[in-house]
Amino acid sequence: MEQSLFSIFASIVTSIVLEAAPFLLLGSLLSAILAVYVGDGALAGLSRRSLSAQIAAGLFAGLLLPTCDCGVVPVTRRLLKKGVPPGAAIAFMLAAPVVNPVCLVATWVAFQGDWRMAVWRAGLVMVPAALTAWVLAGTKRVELLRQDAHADAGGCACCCGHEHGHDHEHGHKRPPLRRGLPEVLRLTGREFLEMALFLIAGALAAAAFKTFLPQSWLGLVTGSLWAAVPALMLLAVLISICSEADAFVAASLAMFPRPALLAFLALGPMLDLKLLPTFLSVFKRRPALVVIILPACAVFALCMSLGLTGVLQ
Amino acid sequence: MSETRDSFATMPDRVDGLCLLCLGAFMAGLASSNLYWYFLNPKFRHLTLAAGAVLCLAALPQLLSPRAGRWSPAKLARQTALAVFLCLAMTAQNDADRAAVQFVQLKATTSSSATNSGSSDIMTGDADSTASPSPSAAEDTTPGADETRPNAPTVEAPATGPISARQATKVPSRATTAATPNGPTGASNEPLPGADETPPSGLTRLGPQSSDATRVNLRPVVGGVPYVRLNLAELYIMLDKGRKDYPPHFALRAQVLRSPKLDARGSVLLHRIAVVCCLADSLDLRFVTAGPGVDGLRDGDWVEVYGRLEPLTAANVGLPKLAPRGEGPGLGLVNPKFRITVERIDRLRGIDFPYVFEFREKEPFAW
Repeated sequence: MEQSLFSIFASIVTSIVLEAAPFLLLGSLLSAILAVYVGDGALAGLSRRSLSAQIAAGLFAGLLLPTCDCGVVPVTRRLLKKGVPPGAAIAFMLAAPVVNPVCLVATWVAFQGDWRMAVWRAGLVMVPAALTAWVLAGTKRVELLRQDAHADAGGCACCCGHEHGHDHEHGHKRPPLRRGLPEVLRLTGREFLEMALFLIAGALAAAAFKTFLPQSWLGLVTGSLWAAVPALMLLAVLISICSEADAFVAASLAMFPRPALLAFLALGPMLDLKLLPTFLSVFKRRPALVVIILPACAVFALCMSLGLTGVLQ
Repeated sequence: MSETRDSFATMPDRVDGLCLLCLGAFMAGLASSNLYWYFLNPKFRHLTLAAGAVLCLAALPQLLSPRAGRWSPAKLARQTALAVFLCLAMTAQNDADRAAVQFVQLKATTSSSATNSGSSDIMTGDADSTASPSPSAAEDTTPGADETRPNAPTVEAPATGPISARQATKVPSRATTAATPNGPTGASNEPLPGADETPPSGLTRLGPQSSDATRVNLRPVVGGVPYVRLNLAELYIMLDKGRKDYPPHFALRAQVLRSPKLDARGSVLLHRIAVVCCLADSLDLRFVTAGPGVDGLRDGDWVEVYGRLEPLTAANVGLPKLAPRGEGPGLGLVNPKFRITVERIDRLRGIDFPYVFEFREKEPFAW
């Protein structure tokens, strides 16, 4: 099994893309179904609720609509286009990859039935997600989404089939199930291709780090909380593991303090090398920076506080 | 003229469709091949296959009824990215195929040299070991054991042309893993003189109550001591969880890593790559190992070790830090608290699946 570094690199790129592709496809499919079969006003009713209710709905929507971080962005973009308020959509985008049954059970299993790790993980994702959603809640849709992100897909990817700009309302009627299927497939393919570009870019970067970064640096930071927490946050971003699997990797890093493990588990699903270019391509500059920076800072502050105060040993 | 213009106008959409079709076909093809496990845990095979099929379906509207559109930088970028990915993936797949062939040929070579020399590959042994054939050699005669291995004539006849790993190895599936615990790690030991003819006098079958227990020896007894079969990752995980109920004597299969610093302390590393989901999240789990016979091991040897755990004492607590850093795909982790003390080592011809994909908490382990 002697493999050259390039061969290992190519294998890791392949495995990341193949692992994420079904989930990205599922996200694209959900997005396409929303676009074709869900009327424009169907989800807009959420915007009449209070901000806290919107954020709460977004935080817990993952329990009903399990999505991993690989596929959550296209769904979020579609939700925003369908009139879901940013407070709910952003909270959903950041929290759903962790606050869903599959991920929570995986965390519980990986940590040998220690339910506290699953609860802490959910909490450490929900707080930054709620915070980010609250900051972006007042942003208008046109200030949130990039125009070119959807203009590329043959117009606005609204399945009307003609080229046009974005900021228009169609007042779609829901087509019959069979008539809508070709459009669902067409939109699924388009969404998938758009997001696959960023998935591949992220996989290339993550594989490069995993292949060429010496593993010895991990051993240098286990002793100090101040070094361990940022180091594992950086690791989570760089190696871009799916949120369904990262708990098993975290569980194997037992030499690190628990706050650092939780920082790894909380940040990875919200920010990694797959998501970074996706955020930058879907959101305009300011909201993209908020979505990238705020959760990272919040996770760092929370995990350090928990470690320094002795709440988490 | 107008037809030409139309076909040019629909070209971007068609190329998008072609990209989807190629990716879908690659995913479906890989999921159907015996190289899938080089990249992902076989439990995801059906998911990848289904996703590949859906991608092929999603390509149809764009290929069959393309819509007019313009080339844009974004379209070109995603089509290029997909082409680059497919090239890399094909390269990785070819490398995996080549590695599998080398692996199979290595087994054949080792087998041949061992047969020629007529030597047993028991590196060390207790008083009974010369009288009792290798436990695994006995397993080789079981029908279930052969099901997951390349058949001998294929691997020992390189003159028939290059051996494709797709033909030579079978992929571990949940079914085979569950049915035959040596499924994913199925191995064949060096033939011991008379192993085929002599009944396994030194062995006792104490496996689980399933029908498989009659075929696979999960608790071989060597020198009167029962050993529990498990894989190295299962042992590592038990210790990582702080469990004290690990088997006092166990048998596991692993690859040998040597380094000058550990050589000087009379130790080697035993390691196995554990794949949870995909190669990117794999862990290269390692134990410092010492005991009679380890000096004779070569770097890269596959061995079956019968041994026990020994807590690292003050004198040798620094041994894990002398271990070489990981160079393969997995994150290298050396157990910091325990080492394996060898009681017996059998050198294996090789094993079909160097990775482990299944980890159980209790017996029967997915060894």
